[in-house]
Amino acid sequence: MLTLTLSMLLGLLALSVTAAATVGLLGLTLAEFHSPLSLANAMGELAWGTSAEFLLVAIPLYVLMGELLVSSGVAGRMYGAVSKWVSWLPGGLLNANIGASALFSATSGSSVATAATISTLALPEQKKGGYHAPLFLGSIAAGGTLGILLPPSINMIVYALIANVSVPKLYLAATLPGLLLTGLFMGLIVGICLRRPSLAGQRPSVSWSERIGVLPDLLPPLAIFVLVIGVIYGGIATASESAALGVVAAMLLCLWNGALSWEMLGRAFEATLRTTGMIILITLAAFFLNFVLSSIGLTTRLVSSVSALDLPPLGMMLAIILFYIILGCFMDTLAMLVTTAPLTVPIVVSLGYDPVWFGVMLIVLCEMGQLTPPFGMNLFVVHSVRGEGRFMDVVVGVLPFLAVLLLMIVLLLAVPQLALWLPGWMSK
Amino acid sequence: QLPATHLRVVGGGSHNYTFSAVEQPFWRDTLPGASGGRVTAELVGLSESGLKGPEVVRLLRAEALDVAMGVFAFVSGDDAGFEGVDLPGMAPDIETAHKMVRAYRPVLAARMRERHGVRLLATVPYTAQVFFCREPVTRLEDLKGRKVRTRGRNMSDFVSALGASPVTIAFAEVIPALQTGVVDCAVSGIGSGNAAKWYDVAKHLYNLPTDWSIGFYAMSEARWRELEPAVQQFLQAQAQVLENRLWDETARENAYALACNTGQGECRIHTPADMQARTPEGADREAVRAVAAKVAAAWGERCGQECKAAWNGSAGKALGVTLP
Amino acid sequence: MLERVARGGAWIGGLGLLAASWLIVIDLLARKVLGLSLGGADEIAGYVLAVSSAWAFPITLLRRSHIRVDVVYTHMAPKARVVLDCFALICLGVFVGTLTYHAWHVLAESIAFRSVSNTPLQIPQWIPQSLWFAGYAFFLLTVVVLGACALARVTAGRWQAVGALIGIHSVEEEIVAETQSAGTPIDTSPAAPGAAARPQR
Ligand code: NA
Ligand code: NA
Repeated sequence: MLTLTLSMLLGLLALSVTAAATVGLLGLTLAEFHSPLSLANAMGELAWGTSAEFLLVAIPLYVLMGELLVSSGVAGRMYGAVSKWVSWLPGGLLNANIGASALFSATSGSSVATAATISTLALPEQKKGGYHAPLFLGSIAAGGTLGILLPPSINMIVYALIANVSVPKLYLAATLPGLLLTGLFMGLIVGICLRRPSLAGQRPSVSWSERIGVLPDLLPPLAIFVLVIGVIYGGIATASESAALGVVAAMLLCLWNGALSWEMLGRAFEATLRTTGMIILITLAAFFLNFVLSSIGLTTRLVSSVSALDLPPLGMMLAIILFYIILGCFMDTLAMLVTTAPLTVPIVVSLGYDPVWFGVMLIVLCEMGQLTPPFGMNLFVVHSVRGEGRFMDVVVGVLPFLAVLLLMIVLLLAVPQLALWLPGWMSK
Repeated sequence: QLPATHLRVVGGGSHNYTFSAVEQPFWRDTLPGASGGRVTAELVGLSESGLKGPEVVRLLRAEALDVAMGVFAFVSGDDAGFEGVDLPGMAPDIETAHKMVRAYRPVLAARMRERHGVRLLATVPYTAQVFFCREPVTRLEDLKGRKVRTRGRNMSDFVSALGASPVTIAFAEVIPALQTGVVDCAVSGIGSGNAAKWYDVAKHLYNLPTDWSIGFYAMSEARWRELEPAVQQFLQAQAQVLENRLWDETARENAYALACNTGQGECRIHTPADMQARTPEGADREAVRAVAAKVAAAWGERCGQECKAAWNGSAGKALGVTLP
Repeated sequence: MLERVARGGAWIGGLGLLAASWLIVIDLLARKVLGLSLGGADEIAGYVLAVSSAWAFPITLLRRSHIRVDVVYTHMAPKARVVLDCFALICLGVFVGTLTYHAWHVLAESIAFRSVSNTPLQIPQWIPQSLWFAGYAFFLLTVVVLGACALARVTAGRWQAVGALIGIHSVEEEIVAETQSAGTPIDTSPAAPGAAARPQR
């Protein structure tokens, strides 16, 4: 039955059937043929219960907040300021791409939004500065993936709901790995540019007074970050409430900058609802599939047969990681997360791993998925904003960053405390 | 010999002590053992099945579930009458709670069968639902103005009537919320709170049982009718076994839980912690009784004349309380 | 027509989300600053999400933003792609049809049992659920009408035109949508904000 399930899942996806419909129809088929109960009757209640879940309210609010921030022009000024601050490093603006991505990530829950925003801001500078195209493109695509690792993060909200773990805990757990990964990306750029100065492009010369002058431009995104994330740990708000605060603050910023108009709101609303519709439809299909899988006993059977394999936990974990790396080549990462996490989380927990740690690991695997061809959302985004040249430029450009992500996975495996230390320390 | 029957069971939250101590062994060993291997069952926890709780009765009726456990406070949106089994502040100890539930059981069973198309198999208690707080609570007065995590309508009403502000947040979010002060207190089972390690972030226990989170095991009435009479009889008898064990084991858990949370005295089931505990006494107990009566009267109004009369004639009689 | 209703739905959904944000923030401020508990903002925000996401599905479909994996798709001949597009739409239709049918049951039961929310607000469930169900019903209608339009184009032999209707968003289109909605203040953006480079019907 497991083989049938997996082959139907992959088959329908390969036939380019809408992911949500694939997941939903798979659930209906299994319910029809593998259970004497009328499991399909649970579909309506599950859809209502899932889509009225307060935790998920954070998703459209994060998207709306990002849309409003970009419209207000805050993001553009932020990129300019970051580039003035880090451009003295070998690699110049390449570092700015990573730094600005990290900073934008702090106000955005999605990698695609981060990559699209930074590409639009950064790409015009690539030719001007004479940067090696692949490396420049790669730095944007890779930097964009920080969007889901550094809090806030849509993927983490969805994972928290599936794995029944706390969102603030997950955010804390991802913070150190997120900062470390930012550092590793920058270290990689500096390392490459020191060995091959021809790739590095010219470093813009910036005076200190200029740097001080642009500092105010960094304030709005930092303020939003402090507001959205700070209030959670300051004991003021839950994750969803903090997202609402972010939306209100972003709206006030737009008003302040004179960017608020009905036309702009209409665009922001439509973009927000497009993304929300996509995420919620697939999430509620996945919840239905999850109910069916557990009702027909497949989850229990899978967990017990995996335990019966008697692999050492590390071996099993490596197999799971490999599975996700391969799947990530072909699937959108959010779809991958919601369709597989209900199956892998019980296994991982039965192996004795912490579900919070596994959440961080899964997010890093999602980041890889966004960068691996043939289906890598961030590759597509950067290539299209560029609007010229070969797709392979982007692919070649992300290869070194993929190696860094692999290193990150090894580090997380070797030192689980990387993720677990901060949440543990905060609870002292 | 009984005809071969297989049941798919959605049990309670698998993080609860009684899930592994009673529910698992019952469905895995007791039931097949007593039937000579003819009646078997497969058990999953509520959250593993992706359900949230309020939909359980509807899913039973729709035959999307065979046998399932639910908590009355969660399913009462479809029927306020369910709340009568566990009115807040009415039962200061588990013996009283048991008396109240036993008296109300026939009313419940009839209501579930006639209005909802489900068959009540067993009632399920949890440990006393008490306050886990960040700051000391020495008197009832101290709860005033605190933000308290509750679940369900009646408990919120009770907590508001005590002068606190009820807040609803998910179980998984309670620890960070207590840690950071998003809430000042959280109500949960005195045993379940220990099992979830709330003592790490809440150092003060106010041992005022708000209610007992009474729940049920039930089966879809349509599925029940498909069973042969011999199986029905067998299940009915075994459900009583399950119910008795659940009450006995919960009473045991409840008896040790205070000692576990404070780390003083005999702690046999949970983990010893170092909480400071206070139990309401004297005037505070009187005040609780007055608040409980007020909340119960408001419930009676919501539930309607017939429902109130049924309660007065059963649970009310057992407790010596009459709703106006 | 469909487009208009879907856009209207998006507007209402967006305004709803914005209003829900303000409500949550006001509730938060009242709690933190004034020590008042209004309560219920979380519950209402949940309903807003349920209703606005139901009304978001049609616009997501019209903008062809529901996720489809194009690994095989991109290597197909144009006519084969149309076949895949139609197959995908049929699968979506079956799924959405079933979902809408069961959503109706949820609403019908809430009406029959006069269900109220299990919170101090005691909101009659039929109010948010009927708005939610209407979103699903409109989504189903969108799928059916799109299918009919696609069929009409196929029978008229206009194969290319089908892709613009129900095909997979090419990456170029996707990014135009991203950056436009972002309205990034950069002179390289391909078109003035609002100028729809999206396929129009
Ligand atoms: Na982020
Ligand atoms: Na990929």
